[in-house]
Amino acid sequence: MTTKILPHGFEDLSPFAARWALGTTAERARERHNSSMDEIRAFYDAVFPKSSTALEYLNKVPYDGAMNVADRNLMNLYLSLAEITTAVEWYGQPAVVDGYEPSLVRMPVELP
Amino acid sequence: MQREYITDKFPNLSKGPVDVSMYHDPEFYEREKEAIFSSSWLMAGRVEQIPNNGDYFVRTVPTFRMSLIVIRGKDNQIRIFQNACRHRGNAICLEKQGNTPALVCKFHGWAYDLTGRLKAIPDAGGMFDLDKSSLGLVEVRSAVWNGFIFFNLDEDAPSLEQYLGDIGPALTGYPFDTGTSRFQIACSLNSNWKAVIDSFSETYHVPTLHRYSIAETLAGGNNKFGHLVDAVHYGYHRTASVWGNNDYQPKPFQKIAYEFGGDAGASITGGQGDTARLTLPRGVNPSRSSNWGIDVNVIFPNLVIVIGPGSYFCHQMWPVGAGKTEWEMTGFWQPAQTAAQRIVQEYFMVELRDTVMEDLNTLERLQCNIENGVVKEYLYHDHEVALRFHHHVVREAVERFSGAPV
Repeated sequence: MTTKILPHGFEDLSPFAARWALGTTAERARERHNSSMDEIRAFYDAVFPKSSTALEYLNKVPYDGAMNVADRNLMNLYLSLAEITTAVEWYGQPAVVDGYEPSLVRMPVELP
Repeated sequence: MQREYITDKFPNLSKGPVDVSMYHDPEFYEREKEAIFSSSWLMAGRVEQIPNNGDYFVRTVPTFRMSLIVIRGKDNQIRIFQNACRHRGNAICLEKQGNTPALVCKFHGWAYDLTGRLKAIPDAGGMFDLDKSSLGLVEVRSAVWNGFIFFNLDEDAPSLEQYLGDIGPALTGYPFDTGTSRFQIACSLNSNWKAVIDSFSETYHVPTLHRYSIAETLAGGNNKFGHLVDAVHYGYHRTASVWGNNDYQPKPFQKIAYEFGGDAGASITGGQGDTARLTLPRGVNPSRSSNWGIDVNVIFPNLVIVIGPGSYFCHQMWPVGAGKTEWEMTGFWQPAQTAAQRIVQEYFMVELRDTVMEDLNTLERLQCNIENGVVKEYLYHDHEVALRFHHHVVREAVERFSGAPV
């Protein structure tokens, strides 16, 4: 996997960035459902503790086309945390407990 | 102490069991299509999707296997046309959205202007006795309410304003126009369209079905069953006002999301969004409850607008058979200003999507057990009053159309 650079102070998360810094909701959801709960929990345990620091940093980064690569990677990494948080904090498994089959649901429009 | 029933607000509703046949009978479905969908105002999309002259989007209407072009003309007027060339019926717009100076069919090149007039026919001399002026694109009646673009297939139906009646002004003033960041989730469900609406219209299921997700935000404290704070009926339209738990303790990432969301991050799951700052129209949180969570508004027949303090989302249910529905959910948020706000939006989108996955999973089993005849009637709880009402108004609409009891 290619290395994805992260901003200064977040380098320790780079082992997870290669896999989880994904640019679309569809890719992030696919990664969630293709991962074991152990892999999801390892990602959460590594990335969640820095959430406040990361969001504080990213709250100073305007959300526009001018974002640099490192900032975008960090954002994409935390977008994946947003994707898998319910697996950890709500369900204790990758998929929704007693939920509808995720592959049957389409997402014709992703958030801009 | 005698219990007070919310159903008692509506003396025309019974409290007995409800027959399920209208949820699976193919003949009844055909009558609904004729009596309801052929003459109701149906929602195509939002004005924010086409801000500039020449902007268009295509709305598919699975119920009638129709494709409609919703376009803003050079005169700034929004019009809706059948996406069908008058030559041989090829679809004019093949993309889901775009901007165009003219509507040109990519089959033989027939060209229409943005008001639908036929302007050019290639090698026109080879056509026989055509009157170009009568061959414009087929226009469909359209009207806009609070930025929602509606269409009606019936030329003689009452105006949208009359159709909406009192719910129109009651919801006017909510800042729908600020929600320009959209997302949409969709799927094909083996379920009757009314059952899909019903599943989002009652709160009796919240503590059980949503036990892992939003049970504690919409039920809990002194309202452990998630009783409604109010129910209001406006003709065939209705509002269920849902309780919100002010003492909800957010989960670890929720806490961070609430902190950084700002105006762009408002969820249905935890009372986020600065309600105090908003002047809500009288139809939103109609009882002015201090424990207001969200309102579920059903615009008859198939538009559900769920309004929260700082964001809203819509469900649309397009029946394609007695037991088949195309379902779409569209969320509307204020644009993220920072990268952190974008993450918060994603998180609340995931919360909403995952919660809805819990709702969707009940539907096909329900449908199966009425189609196979095992279940013949529904026993509605007081706080499932919206479902009782739904059954009542659909029956009434079909009876009114056919002039006989059904």
